[in-house]
Amino acid sequence: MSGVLPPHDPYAAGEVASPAKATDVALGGGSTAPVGVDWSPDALLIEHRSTWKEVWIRFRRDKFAVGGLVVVILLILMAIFAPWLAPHDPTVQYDEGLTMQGMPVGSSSQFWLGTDTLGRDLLSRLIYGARVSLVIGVLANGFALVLGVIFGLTAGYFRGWIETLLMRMTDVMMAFPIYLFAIALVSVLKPSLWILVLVIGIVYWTPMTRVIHGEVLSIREKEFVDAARLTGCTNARLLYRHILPHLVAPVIVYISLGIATTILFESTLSYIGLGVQPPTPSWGQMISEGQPYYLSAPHLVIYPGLMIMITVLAFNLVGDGLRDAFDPQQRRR
Amino acid sequence: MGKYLVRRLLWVVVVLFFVSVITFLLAYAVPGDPAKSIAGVHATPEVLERIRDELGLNKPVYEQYWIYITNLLQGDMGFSYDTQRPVAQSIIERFPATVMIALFGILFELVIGIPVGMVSALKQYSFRDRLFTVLSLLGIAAPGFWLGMLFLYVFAYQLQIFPLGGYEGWAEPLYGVLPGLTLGVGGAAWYSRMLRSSMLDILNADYVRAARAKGLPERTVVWRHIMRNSWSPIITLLGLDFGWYLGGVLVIEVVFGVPGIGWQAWNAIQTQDMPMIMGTVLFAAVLVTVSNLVVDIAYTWLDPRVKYS
Repeated sequence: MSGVLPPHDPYAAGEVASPAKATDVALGGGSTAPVGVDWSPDALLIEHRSTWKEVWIRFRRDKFAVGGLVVVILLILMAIFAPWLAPHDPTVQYDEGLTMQGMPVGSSSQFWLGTDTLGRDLLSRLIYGARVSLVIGVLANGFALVLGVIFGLTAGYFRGWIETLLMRMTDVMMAFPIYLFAIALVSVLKPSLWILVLVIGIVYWTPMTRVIHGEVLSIREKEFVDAARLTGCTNARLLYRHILPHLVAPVIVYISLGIATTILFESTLSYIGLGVQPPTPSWGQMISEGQPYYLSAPHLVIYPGLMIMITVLAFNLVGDGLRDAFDPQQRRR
Repeated sequence: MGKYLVRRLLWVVVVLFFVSVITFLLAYAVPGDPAKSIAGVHATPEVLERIRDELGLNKPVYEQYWIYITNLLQGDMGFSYDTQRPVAQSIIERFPATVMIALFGILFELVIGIPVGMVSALKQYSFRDRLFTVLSLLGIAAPGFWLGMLFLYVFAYQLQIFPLGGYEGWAEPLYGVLPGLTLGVGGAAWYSRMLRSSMLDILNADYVRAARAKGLPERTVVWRHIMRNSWSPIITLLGLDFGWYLGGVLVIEVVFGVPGIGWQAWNAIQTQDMPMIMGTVLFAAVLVTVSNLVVDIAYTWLDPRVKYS
């Protein structure tokens, strides 16, 4: 993947650029070596940093983004190791988890954050809830990505009637009250994890397609694409080796922001009862279960909501940080 | 301009045609027998057959669509399975409640979002800017239904300023404040971010420096030179918000118990009342499409550099 460069990079055609430009690339990123002192290939090799390294160095400077990344990693670890981290089984209803009046108990040494309305351990349910959010967030975006890459590449690269057809389709989807439609679709198809992934993927393929279409339109006009075509590349090779690598950066940014939106949407669906069905705990569903009690036991609503907010915030921060790191020219802070 | 309008209107028709096809197919694909939904589980086979005949359920798909679309164009969206009342009438009756909270939402969005975005841009990197940045990041990340419940807890239950949900018509606007605030906070967060970045782009433009250099008062520079050029993204967002609100309003109406079209659609989803679901989706699609049209026209009027293409 040594040829991978972000889009809008002034040296996007770096492979064929003049030696002076090549030095600029090599000396970029804060090196103090004077320009043009040593022209030998060895000197260039020593100074060379991969694009990914450059991106990482820029990303690291953004404290918000690094904080977001740490939280995202912690959440992923929490979801994976939930059975070892959770103090109790999230689906077991404990007799001592309810008061004599049938109310949830507050925090104690046995139930650190107290129990929910059915006497289940709140902390354990919060920990397990990360699984649903993250799995749906990742899978639904993966699905939208596959559709977006196929349609966006086809429309942007081959142009003509197929572009008109596909892009007009996205226009129609954009004009549609898509959330209402998704809610109706889930209710008709009966909610389950896979239906949620499918429907959310269908909702999110449009913006993804438009992003990729726009990128492909600008990349296909670049000289290196003409050069590759002149050397006799087939369409498939051109798409795979020369255009696809340039889509990696915008796609990574888009996915991290997309996961945030997806998690928010999934929690809304769960809240209105169209999410993953009980007893599997999900944060949105926990809020709706706690709602009848929220005046007397507001923590039942507050904690799962905080989890959603922290998760969405972390993915947004990572996405914003990545966008700035990939594309320092368009930095907006 | 005339040619542009005609093309734009034709596009609206095309979009609405596809929307009607998609909603029709959605209803068509639903498992279950509509005749049974109407007549109930104890209906005799003869009754079911007669209902199917009346509704044209025995005809091929395209004929059924034709019946559906001709009825639709005459304002007939069919009858609710649940209440047996005309869907169009139910939607019209419930619409004022939705409009009220959507208007409050837009009001809060503008009243909070615009000053916050302006201060953030004009005092970039100040303490206030950083505070607003953090707050808007939180506002974007917080689920609306959860925020609504927090507002209910604080402002209605603890402080008792506003009612604990419900709706009493336009004569009692207090009922719309908290749902509107819930919608508006999320919107304001986006607004202020957009306004901030679009203003920052303009702040360093040559004509702004020229305006300052010739000694214009800061107020004139900000309002006449900077703001006039920052409106475009705001107008775009405002148009898109109708769509967002009509989708987001469903869950907000459920939280606050506001009997609008979202609440009604929510009940329809519970009972699998397909005509009502289809009607609401279609109605919302018309609103979104029309508001997009208005935005596009407003856009060309506000910013004459935008070509009619």
